[in-house]
Amino acid sequence: MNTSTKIGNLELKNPFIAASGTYGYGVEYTDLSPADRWGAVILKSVSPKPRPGNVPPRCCETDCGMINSIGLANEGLEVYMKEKIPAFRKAFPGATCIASLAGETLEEFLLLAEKLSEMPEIKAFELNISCPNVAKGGMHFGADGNASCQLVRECKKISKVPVWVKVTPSTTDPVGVAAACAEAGADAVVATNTIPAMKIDVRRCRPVLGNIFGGLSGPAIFPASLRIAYLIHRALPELPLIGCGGVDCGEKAVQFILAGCSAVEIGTATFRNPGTEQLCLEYLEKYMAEMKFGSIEDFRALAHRTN
Amino acid sequence: MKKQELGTVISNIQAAKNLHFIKIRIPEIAPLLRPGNFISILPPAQSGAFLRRPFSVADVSGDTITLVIKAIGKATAAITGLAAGDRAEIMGPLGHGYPEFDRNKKIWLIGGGTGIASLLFLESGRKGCQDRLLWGGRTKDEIPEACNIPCRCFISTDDGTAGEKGTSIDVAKKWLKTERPDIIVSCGPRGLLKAVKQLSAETSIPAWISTEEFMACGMGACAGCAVPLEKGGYAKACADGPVFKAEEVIL
Repeated sequence: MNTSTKIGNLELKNPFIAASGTYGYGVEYTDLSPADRWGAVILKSVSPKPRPGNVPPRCCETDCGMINSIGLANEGLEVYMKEKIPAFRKAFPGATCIASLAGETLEEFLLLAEKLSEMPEIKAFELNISCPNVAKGGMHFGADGNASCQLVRECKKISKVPVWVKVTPSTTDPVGVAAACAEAGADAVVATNTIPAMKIDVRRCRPVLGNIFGGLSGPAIFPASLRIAYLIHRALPELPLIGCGGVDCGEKAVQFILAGCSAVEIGTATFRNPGTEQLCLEYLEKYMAEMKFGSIEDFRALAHRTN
Repeated sequence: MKKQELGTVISNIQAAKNLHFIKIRIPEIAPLLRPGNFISILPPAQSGAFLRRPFSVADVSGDTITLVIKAIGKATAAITGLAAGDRAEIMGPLGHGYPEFDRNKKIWLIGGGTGIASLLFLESGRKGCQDRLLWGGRTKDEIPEACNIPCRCFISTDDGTAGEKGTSIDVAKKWLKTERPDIIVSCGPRGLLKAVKQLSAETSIPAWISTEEFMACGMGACAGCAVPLEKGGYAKACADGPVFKAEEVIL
């Protein structure tokens, strides 16, 4: 049995990828969920300049999940290149590292792609055009097919590594956005990001989050994320696809693969149980053995068959 | 080294109407804990709570820890319902705890509600020191009747139903008229920490506070538990704290 997978030309030893923003800079979970146990890890989104992040409170719990409004807090490109990436490489020389790029403008994305192409440790870029928690860039790019298309096309010209695009669930036409990204040359699409949401404290009679709104994640969003991944694969069967949203066990991960995904991101579930990726891998091996699947390709997209 | 371990509840004593002292045996994690560290518990499945819950450690005796927990929501309701023999999945040690304070220094430890936990742990290593412990609660429902604390402990409640009427800050201010500690250490609700920070600024007595924030990961990965800093920007309560110098943080 072979649990390795390919996203375009990038081979991963297993289909489980730590989702950006939930796994820090790859070293925070060293003791409990080490990076080299994952197929790949996507480090926290980087922006050209440092971003302090949003006013707290930044997260709260909901039924079967949580809402966050971190606001892409990060120390900027310089610290990322001089400190974060080297620290990760030192701790996990064998792990596959992917950078999540968060620009406010096309120019910022291009600057990130150009500079980070110089770092051989980074095996792919994930363009974060679906963060709901920032005023500029983020989701405002991702909901617009034309803007996404231009961004991907320009990034592809500069980037020396595959370019993945993380699309938003907050559009009436996620397939259209994915198609625009594919048309512009995206190497893979990640479906999807958090869903805009809020919570109100009935004792304080105010929104719980400092930013009022945040992004819903966790098992609560899994069925909605799965539907979008399924729709994108149905329309664009040749486009490498990565599932993201609400996976907290191997069974949900397998559903994403059956919908057409070559890999699956895991995020919020790691907060609840670091080691979720290990449980998913154990489930996957058992599932493949029981179903007599020799490889991921043996059952990927099988849910689309018509007979 | 952070670990995840399935612990066994040894006892659950309801010390007041809404205050539980829960002892849990976690042989792998217990020896690694220092005062000010916290652990996180995976809430029992029937609670329906999704995220882990952070709790300061109140005592370590051999392989067993003590937690001080008040039921305020579905997770804490389920955790305070645990009985001897029940299992609880625990992760720790988390966070940076208190510095090693000089035993010759006199510390006033000001605790609000369950914030008393980390102060009890700190104090357990300072037997014989000239410290004073002040424990404030809203009502007697949050303060144990028989207060078995190894140092001089002074109880106060907002409504006067246990100990002196008033907050622990009111008591500290009264004492300050006749004596003065070298250091103040505090843990409790934001209002208390704010008052301690102000008291520290007014009296020039250095203060250390342990912050309580809602957390998602508990290990510095998600940046969800941001604490604003006086110098600008934010610290993470879980990884940079939970203990900070009062003058460094904005409350």
